[in-house]
Amino acid sequence: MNRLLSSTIPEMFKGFSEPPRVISEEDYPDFYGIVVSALNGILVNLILLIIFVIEGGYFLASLSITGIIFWLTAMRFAYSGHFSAAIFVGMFEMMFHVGVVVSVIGLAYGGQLILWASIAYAAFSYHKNKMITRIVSYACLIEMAALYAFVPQFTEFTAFENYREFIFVLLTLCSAIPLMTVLMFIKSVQIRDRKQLQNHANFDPLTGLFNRGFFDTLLEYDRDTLSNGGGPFCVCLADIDYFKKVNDEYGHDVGDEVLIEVANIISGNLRKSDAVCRWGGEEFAIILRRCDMSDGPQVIQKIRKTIASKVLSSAEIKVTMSFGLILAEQDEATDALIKRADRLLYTAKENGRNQLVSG
Amino acid sequence: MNVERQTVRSQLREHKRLTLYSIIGTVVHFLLLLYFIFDEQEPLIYYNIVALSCWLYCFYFLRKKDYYRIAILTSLVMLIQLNLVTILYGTESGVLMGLWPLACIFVINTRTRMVAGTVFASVCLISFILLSLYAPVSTEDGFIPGSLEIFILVTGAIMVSAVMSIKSAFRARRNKMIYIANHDTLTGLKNRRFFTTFIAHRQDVIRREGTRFCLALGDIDHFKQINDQHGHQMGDAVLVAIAACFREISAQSDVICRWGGEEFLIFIPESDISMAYPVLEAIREVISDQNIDGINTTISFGVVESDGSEALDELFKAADLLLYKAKQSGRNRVEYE
Repeated sequence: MNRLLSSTIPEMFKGFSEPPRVISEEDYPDFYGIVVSALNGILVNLILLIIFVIEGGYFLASLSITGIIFWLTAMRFAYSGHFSAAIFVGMFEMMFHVGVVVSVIGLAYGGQLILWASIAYAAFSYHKNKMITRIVSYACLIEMAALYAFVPQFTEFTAFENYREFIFVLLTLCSAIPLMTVLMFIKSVQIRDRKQLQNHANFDPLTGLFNRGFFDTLLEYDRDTLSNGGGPFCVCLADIDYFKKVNDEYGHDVGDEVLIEVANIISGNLRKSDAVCRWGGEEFAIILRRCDMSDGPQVIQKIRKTIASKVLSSAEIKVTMSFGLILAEQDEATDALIKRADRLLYTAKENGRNQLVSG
Repeated sequence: MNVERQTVRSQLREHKRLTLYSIIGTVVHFLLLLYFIFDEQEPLIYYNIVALSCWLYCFYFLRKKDYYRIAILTSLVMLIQLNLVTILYGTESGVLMGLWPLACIFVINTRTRMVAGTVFASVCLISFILLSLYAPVSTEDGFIPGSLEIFILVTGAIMVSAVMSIKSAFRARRNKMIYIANHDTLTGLKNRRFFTTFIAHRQDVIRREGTRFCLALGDIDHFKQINDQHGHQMGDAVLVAIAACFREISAQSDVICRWGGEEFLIFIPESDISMAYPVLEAIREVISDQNIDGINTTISFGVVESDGSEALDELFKAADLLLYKAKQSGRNRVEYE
């Protein structure tokens, strides 16, 4: 017991702003929910304790002290990663405490409203066992309905008459504000996750360019707009020359750096309306929109010259790139487009690399 | 691709759920309208006609897939309805309790913005406090008896199921994110990010336990040619097939990673070269016997043994040298120290 206390109290003060190491990022929402509700429970109990002591409700005051101890235990469980245990301790405290207090002082003080928060916490704490979650949350729900059915608004216990409105507002706020904070937090995490998932689906993680799946979609879209009377567009395949050597000689880290820098140079030299993707290991694919054979080659030549002239990565090496550029034709399949560009790229490699072949 | 399909599926589920909600909302408001006509509550009759048309309008939004507008519109309709009924029938009717689930569901709905959620929840909270303190407890037109308890149970149950379904979606999304962060999308093997952290952690354990492990670096022979001659799709198919071979033959405890384009790293715990060699030989043989859509591929391996004292970089370099040796001496072979 002594050890429990000596480790609980410092831990409690240490970790309010940041979670302790045992909590993985995955569990952080659960952890956050418990800590907020525990802090809130302790605060409410402290305020009520003061009122109860002043007005002479010693039985209720002792209940508040028990409540504080329960919440501290819940917090201790949360910090050691036992979320289910923490939630059950908290739930039990809420249900028991609210039940007793409301039956003694009546519904008019709003104590039963705390149960709304516990219903939401219980429902959200669902990990694997749906049944237990349902039982706990419906138990809270039924308890609240039962309190409304059987407890009168006012009882003979009239010591707190003067504080009625204050206690009502206090308890309502103490139920609603932490509840809403936790829900908001969960929502923000969820929105962030959804965005990240979309990024994973559409972008290459290393270079931040589009990935192949998304590029295919773009290409199909452009082809369709072309056959519906859109402007001409060019497709270019690009490949870093002798990239395998870079990897072998300088290691994969340098290889990755080179890829990132090349990707930046390419996307930096394109207009906003163009699109570039990482097609494969060291291959890139580019769509130049509203562009034909009069200005397409100029853009690509500029990229080629920039890459050939720049010293790249921490190993300070130079690489060159070969390009195959084509003008998209009406109603051409995307596969055929890419194949044509690939053939030109192959010619560029055959002719000695570091050059653009267009056709 | 898989992720996209999942997203589409979850959108379909959301669409179905919202359709159901809209139907329920319309029916409930229609029944309430009948009740208020019967009870001759004039303001509520007019309001419910407006509310009913709002709910019907939701079907139009549903067709346009404008879920954000649906959330805002229906929540506002319900907020006003709850307030009006409480004022006209008294707090005894218990209708104001519905403000709690309403606020919770609105806040947790990912379609709405944070600011909108905050404002809506505050409005719910303030109107709840004002209603419970200042609205009449009961008026002469009594509402349905026992409505308070029924109302708590019904709205509470809706809230529980909504929150639980949101939580399970939340879990699923988190798990998917963790999976994506650690796996290669094409082959489903572990990716580099996972492997580097895993090895660093594992080496500590291995050093403490005093066991040995093997690290094999595999590279598909002439992969560039496959890509150039048969196209990238074929190359991808070869990679997937080879990954399947790895998974089939290696032990459960082995960790296989797609290191780069056509390079694979295999971590074989608690074994030395004499134990790892036969496994790699078996993999090599199966791959060289295999015919993937008319293409015969082979693979070369370089394998090193370690007691966990070398860093991954050094081990990798040693394995890479051995792999180079394997490539030099004719490919389709396993080279070890």
